[in-house]
Amino acid sequence: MQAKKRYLILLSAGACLALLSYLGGVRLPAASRSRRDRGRNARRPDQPWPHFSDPLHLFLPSDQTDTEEYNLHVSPRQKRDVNTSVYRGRRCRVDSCFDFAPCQKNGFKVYVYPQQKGEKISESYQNILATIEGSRFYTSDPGQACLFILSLDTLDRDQLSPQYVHNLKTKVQNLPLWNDGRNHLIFNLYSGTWPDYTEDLGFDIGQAMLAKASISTENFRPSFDVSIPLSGFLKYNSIPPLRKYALVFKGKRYLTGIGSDTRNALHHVHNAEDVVLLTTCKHGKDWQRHKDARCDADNAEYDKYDYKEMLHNSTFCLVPRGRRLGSFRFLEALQAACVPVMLSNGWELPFSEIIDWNTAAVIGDERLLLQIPTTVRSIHQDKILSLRQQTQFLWEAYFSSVEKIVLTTLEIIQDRVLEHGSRSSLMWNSHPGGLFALPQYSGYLGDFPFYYATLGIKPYPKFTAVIHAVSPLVSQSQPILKLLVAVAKSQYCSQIIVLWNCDKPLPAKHRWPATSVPVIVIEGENKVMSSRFLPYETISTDAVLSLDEDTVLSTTEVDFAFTVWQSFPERIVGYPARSHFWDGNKERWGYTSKWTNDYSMVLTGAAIYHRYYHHLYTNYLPTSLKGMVDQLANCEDILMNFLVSAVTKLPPIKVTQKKQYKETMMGQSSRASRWADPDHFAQRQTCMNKFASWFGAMPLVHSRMRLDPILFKDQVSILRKKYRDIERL
Amino acid sequence: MYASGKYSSRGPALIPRMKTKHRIYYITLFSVVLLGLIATGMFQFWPHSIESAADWTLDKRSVHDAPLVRLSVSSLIPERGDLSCRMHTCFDVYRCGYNPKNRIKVYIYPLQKFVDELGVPISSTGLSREYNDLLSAISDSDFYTDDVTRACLFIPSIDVLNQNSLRIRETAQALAMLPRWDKGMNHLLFNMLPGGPPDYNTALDVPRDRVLLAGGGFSTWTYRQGYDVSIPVYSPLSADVELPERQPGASVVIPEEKLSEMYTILKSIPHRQVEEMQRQAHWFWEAYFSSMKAIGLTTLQIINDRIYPYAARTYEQWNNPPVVKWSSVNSPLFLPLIPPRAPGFTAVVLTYDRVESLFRVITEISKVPSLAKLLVVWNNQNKSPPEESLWPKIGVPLKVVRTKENKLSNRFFPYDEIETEAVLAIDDDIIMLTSDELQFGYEVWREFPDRLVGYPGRLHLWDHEMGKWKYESEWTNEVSMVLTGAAFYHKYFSYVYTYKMPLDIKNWEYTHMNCEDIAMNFLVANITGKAPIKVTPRKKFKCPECTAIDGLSLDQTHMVERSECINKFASVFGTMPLKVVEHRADPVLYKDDFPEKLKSFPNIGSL
Repeated sequence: MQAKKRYLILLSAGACLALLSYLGGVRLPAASRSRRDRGRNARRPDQPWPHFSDPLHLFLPSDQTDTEEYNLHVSPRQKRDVNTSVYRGRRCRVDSCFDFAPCQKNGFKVYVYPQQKGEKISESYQNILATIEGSRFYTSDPGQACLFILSLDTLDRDQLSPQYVHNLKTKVQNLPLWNDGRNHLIFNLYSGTWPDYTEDLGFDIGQAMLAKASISTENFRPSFDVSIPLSGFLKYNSIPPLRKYALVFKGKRYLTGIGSDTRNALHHVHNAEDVVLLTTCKHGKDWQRHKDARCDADNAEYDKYDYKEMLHNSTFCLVPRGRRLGSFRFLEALQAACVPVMLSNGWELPFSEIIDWNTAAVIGDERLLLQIPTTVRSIHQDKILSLRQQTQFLWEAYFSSVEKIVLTTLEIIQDRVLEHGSRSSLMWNSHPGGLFALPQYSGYLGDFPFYYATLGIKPYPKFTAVIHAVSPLVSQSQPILKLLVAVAKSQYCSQIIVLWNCDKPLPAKHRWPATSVPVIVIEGENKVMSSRFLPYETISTDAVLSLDEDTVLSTTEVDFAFTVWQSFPERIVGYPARSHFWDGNKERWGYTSKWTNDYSMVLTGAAIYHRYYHHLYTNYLPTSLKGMVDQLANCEDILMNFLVSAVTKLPPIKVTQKKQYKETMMGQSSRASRWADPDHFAQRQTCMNKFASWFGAMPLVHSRMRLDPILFKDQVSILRKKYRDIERL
Repeated sequence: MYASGKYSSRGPALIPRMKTKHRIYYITLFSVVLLGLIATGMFQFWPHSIESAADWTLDKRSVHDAPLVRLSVSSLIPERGDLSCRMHTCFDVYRCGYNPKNRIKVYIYPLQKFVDELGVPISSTGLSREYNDLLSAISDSDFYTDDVTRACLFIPSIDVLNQNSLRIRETAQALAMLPRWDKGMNHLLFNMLPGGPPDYNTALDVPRDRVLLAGGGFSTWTYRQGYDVSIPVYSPLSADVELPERQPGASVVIPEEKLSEMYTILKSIPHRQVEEMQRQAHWFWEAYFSSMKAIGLTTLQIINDRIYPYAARTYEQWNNPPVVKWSSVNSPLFLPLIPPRAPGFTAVVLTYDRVESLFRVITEISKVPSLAKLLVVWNNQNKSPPEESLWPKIGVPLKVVRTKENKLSNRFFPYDEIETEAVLAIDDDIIMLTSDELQFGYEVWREFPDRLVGYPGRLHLWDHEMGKWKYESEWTNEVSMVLTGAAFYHKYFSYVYTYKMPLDIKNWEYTHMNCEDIAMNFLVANITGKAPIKVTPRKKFKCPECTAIDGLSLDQTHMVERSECINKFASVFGTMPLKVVEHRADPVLYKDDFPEKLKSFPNIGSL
C-alpha cells in the first residue's frame, strides 16, 4: 500500500516535471526565433530597431523637470513683444497684433469708414461694404467697434490695372483711426504684377489682418489672415458617379516666367479621351513672338472643346496654378460639382482655417503631375459621390455670393476673438455650415438640431409649449384655457410657458387651470411679436410647441405631431399649412391660405420645432426684418418659415388632415382677431417679398405630401387605432 | 457535502502512515516542482521580459556596443532650420511616389555613438528610454522598412528629445554625417523640450537644414504649418503654444490677456459640453498621446496623410471615439437635395414566366406620368422572353435583361440601363396600384431620396416570451419596413446591396429564396439611420379579400421564416438598425371634402 502510494506520488512528480520541461520547451521557439533574427541581422546591416538591454536614461533628467523654473525666465508675452518689434506685421498673430478689449466690451462689432468724396470704389468692393453694413455685425460708432474696414478700395493692387488706387500709402496713414492697422481687416483679390506677381500690396498694412485671395503658405499668418476665394449646380446624385470625362482643364499656357512650368507640362497627360487638358498660347499682345513648336497644335485642339460643357461633364477638374497661385477655376469647378484637383503648391486654400479641403478636393503636388490621372482613377466611387456632394455644400454655404464670402470672413475672425466659443470643425464642414450654426448658442453639438445622427443621439423626448397670449383673461371658457388643459395632458409635455403679450396686467395665479405640468407665465418684453421667439432660458427641452392663444388642438394631435417631429428634428412640424407662389403678372411672390395640393409653410400657431431656431431668429436675423414684424404685429410665422427653410433647404412638414385650427375661423367667436383684419392678408404679401429680398432668394420649398397616422381613416376597427381622435375633425 | 467530508477524513489518515523522513522528502519535492511551475508560468505570461532576457543572454546587445564615430572639429555643420519650409519646397515627394497602399516607408538609422575629437560624447544622456521606445514602436509598425533605398522618410537614431542634454554644434555635425542626410531632406526629428537659456526658443536650436520637426511647445511663429508636426510635452499651457494637432473638442484655449476672465469663461461652458470634452480628452490621451508609441505612430500617420491627402483620414476619424463611431450614422447621400421631377424613374420588373400578368403590369405602369424607362429582369434561364412584337406598345423605352441565375436579389442589381436616380422595384403581379398612387410615391421619394418609399408597411417586434425578434404583418400603428414588391429607392442602394451586403445575408436569401426585401430594409436603415416611408393606405398587394396579408405568406411557415430572417440579419449586422415610426405619407388633400378633379392625386387607391 505504502509502495503504491509512493509510486503514485513519484508518478505525479514525474508528470509535473514533464509539464515543466514542456513549458520550458515553449520558450525554445522564441529563443530560436531571436537567433534567426540575428542571422538575418548578420546578413543585412540595417536591422529593425534592436531591443537594448541597457538601463536607459529618461530624456528629461529629474533635475530639469521643474518646469516652473524652466519657463520662468521669459514670459511668452515678453518674448512676443520682442518679436513684434523685430518682425512687425509679418509675424502677427491674433494675440499679438489684435486688441481684444473693445470686442470683449461691446461684442463683435464692425465699423466701416465713411466713403470719401471723389474716391472711386469698384463694384465688388461696394458689394463687400454693403454686405457688412447690412449684417448684424455692423456698427456706425467707431467707439463700439472691434474690427475696422477701410472704405478705400484695396481689392486690386496690380499697378497695371485700371482699378488700381494710387497714393494708398498716404491715404491709409492719414486715417485718424488707423493706429498702425490694429484691428483692421483689409480685403484683397489681386496683388503684384508682371513679371513676378509678388504678394506685396504696395502699402504698409502695419498690423492689419488680410483677407486675401491666393495667399501662399509662406506669407500666410496662421489664425490671423484669411484666405478668400476669387469670386449650385448639383441637382442629383447620379449613380455611378462618373461623368463623361475623368479630368479636364482648359486655360492659358504661359510660355515663360512664373507659373509656366506646370501648364507647359499638361500636354503630357492629355489623352483627348477621358483626360482632356487644353492650353492656348493666344493671350497677350505679342504671343506670336514667344510661341513655341507646340502652340499651333495646342491652339487648334483648344478650340475644339467648350469649357462649360467640359466643366459640367467631368468628374474631376484640374486647377493648376496660373501666374498667381489662386485661380478662378477653383470656384468654377466647385460650383459645377466637378471635384477640383489642386496643382498649386503652397497655395493656402480659401478659408483653409475652417474648411477641411480634403473632403471636397484632391490636393495634388505640382511635381507629381504625371501621376495625377492614376491617382484620380484610383479614387473609389463612394468617395467621389461624397467629394462631389461636399463641393456643393461648401459652394452653397460659403462661396455662392460676395455676401457669403464676406460673412464667412467675419465669422472666422469672430471665432478667433471669442476663441472659447468657436465653432468645431464639424459645424464648419457639415450641413448647414458655420454661418447657420452659431457657437454663442452652445458649444455642445448635441444642443443643435443638425448633428443628432452624427453623434448617434436623439433629441430630448419631451417638449415645452409656448402659448402666445394677447387678449385678457375674462371668461373661463376662453380657448386659451381649453388649449392649456389639452396640451398639459400630453405625455410628452414637460412644461407650459404662457407668454403674456397683453396690455392688461397678468391674471392672478388661481385663474389658470390646475395642470400636472408646471405653467410658467412670462411677461413679454415690450409686448412685441418677435418676443415669442426669444430664446427663453426656461425652455429646457429641445422641442418647442408654439401655439397661438386661440389655437384649437387636442391632446392626441399634440402627441402625434411630436412623434413625427422626433423623426425630423431640424424641420417645422405642425398643422396650419400655407403656400407661396410666383405671381407672374405682378412680378412678385404671392401668399395663399387656400386649400392647395402643396404647401411651403407651416404656421407657428400650432407647430413644433427645435428651440435652436429661437436663438437663430433672435440673433441671426437683422433688426430690419424683426422690426418690420414687430411694427406690423404680423408675419412672424412667415419669417420663421423662411429662416428654417433657408437653413435646412427643405420644406416643413404638415401633419394630418386638419386645416382649421382657430376658433375665429370656425366662426364660433365674435372677438376681433388679427386674422379678421382685411389688411392682415395684404401685409403678409408684402412681408413675403421683403423677406425674399433679404435672403437673396426664395428659400421656401414646396411639399406635396402630409404625414398621417398609419391607420388614418382606414376601414378597420377604430379600436385598433392609436390616434383615434385625429379622425374626428 | 457528505463526499467532501469523507475525503477530508481520509486525508489525515493517509499522512500519519508515512514515515516522517519520507514526508519531509515528499513535501520538499513538491515545493520544488511547484515553485518551478510558478516560475515558468511567470515567464510565459511575461513575454516582454522573456524576450529582453533572451536578447540580454543570447545577444548581449547594448548601446555601448554601438559603433563609435569620431567627429572632427571642421566637420560640416548644417544650416539653421528654414522657417519657410513647406512640404512642396523642402520635402522630396518623389521618394514616396505613387503607391497602391498609400503608405509612406520609414527607415531608421542604426545606432551610432558620436564623440568629438577628445572622445567626449555629443549628448550627456545618450539614447533615452523614451526615444528608444519610440524607435522600437516605429520599427514594429508597418511604416517601417529596412531598405534604405525604398524609404521616403528617415529617422536618425540621434536622440534630440531634450535639447538641454545636447551639445548643439556637435549634434548638428553628427546629423550632417548621416549617409542620406542630403540637407536634411525627408528626415524627421522628434523634440520635446526645445530651447535653452537665455531665451528659450520654441523650436529646437540644433542647426538642421530642412528637417521635418515633430516638436512639443511650438509657438505659432516657429510652427511651420503643414510641415512640422506638433506633439505634446508635459509643460504648463501657455498662449502661444501650438496645440498638438487641432482638437477643439477637448480643450479650451484662452489667450493670456483673458486670464483674469478665465473663471467666467470656464463657468460659461455648459455642463453637457464639459462632460463631452472630458470624454474626448480622455480618448485623445488614450489614442494619441498616452505613450511614446502612440506619439510616434500618430506623427507618422499625420505625415502620411499629407503625402497622400486623397487617402487621408477625415477629421471625424481622428476625433471621434469608437463609441461614437458605433452609434453615429452619416448618410452617404448627405446633401439636402430634392431631385427635379423631370428625369423621372426607371421601373424594374422582376419576372420568371408569368407573361400575361407581366404584360398587364407593364401596361398599367406605362400610364404613370414620370415613368422614364421600363426594365424587365427576365429571371428564367430555361425559357426565353416572348419575342419583341408580342410586348405591349408603350410610350417609354422598354428593355429586357436576362439573368444568369434565378436569384431574387437580381432585382436590386445596378443595371447600366438604369439611367435615373430613382428606381421603382415592382413585382410582375402588382396590378392593383393606381397610376396616381405610383406617381405620388415618386413625388414622396423626391422629398426623401435617401429612404425606401413603399406601400404596404411591416413591423419588427421584440417577442419577450421567446426572447427574439418577430415579423409582424397585422394592422399595426407602426412601421419599420416597407415591402419591395413595389418600392422606390435611390440607385445608390442597388450598388450597396450588390457589392457591400454582408455575404452571410446574401447566402441566406439565396438558399431561402425569401427576405431579399427585409435585407434591403436593413441595409438602407443601417447606412442612413432613417426609417422607410410608407405611402397611402395600401396594406397588402394580393388577394384583397383574404385575411392574411402577403400573397405568398398565406401559410404560417412563411411568417416564421421571415421572423427568422430578421433575427439572422440583426445578428449579422450586430445591431437592430430598423427604425420604427408611426406616420405614413398621404397627398395633402387626401380625404378632404374638395372637388376631386382639383386634387393632384384623386385616385389614391384602397387598402
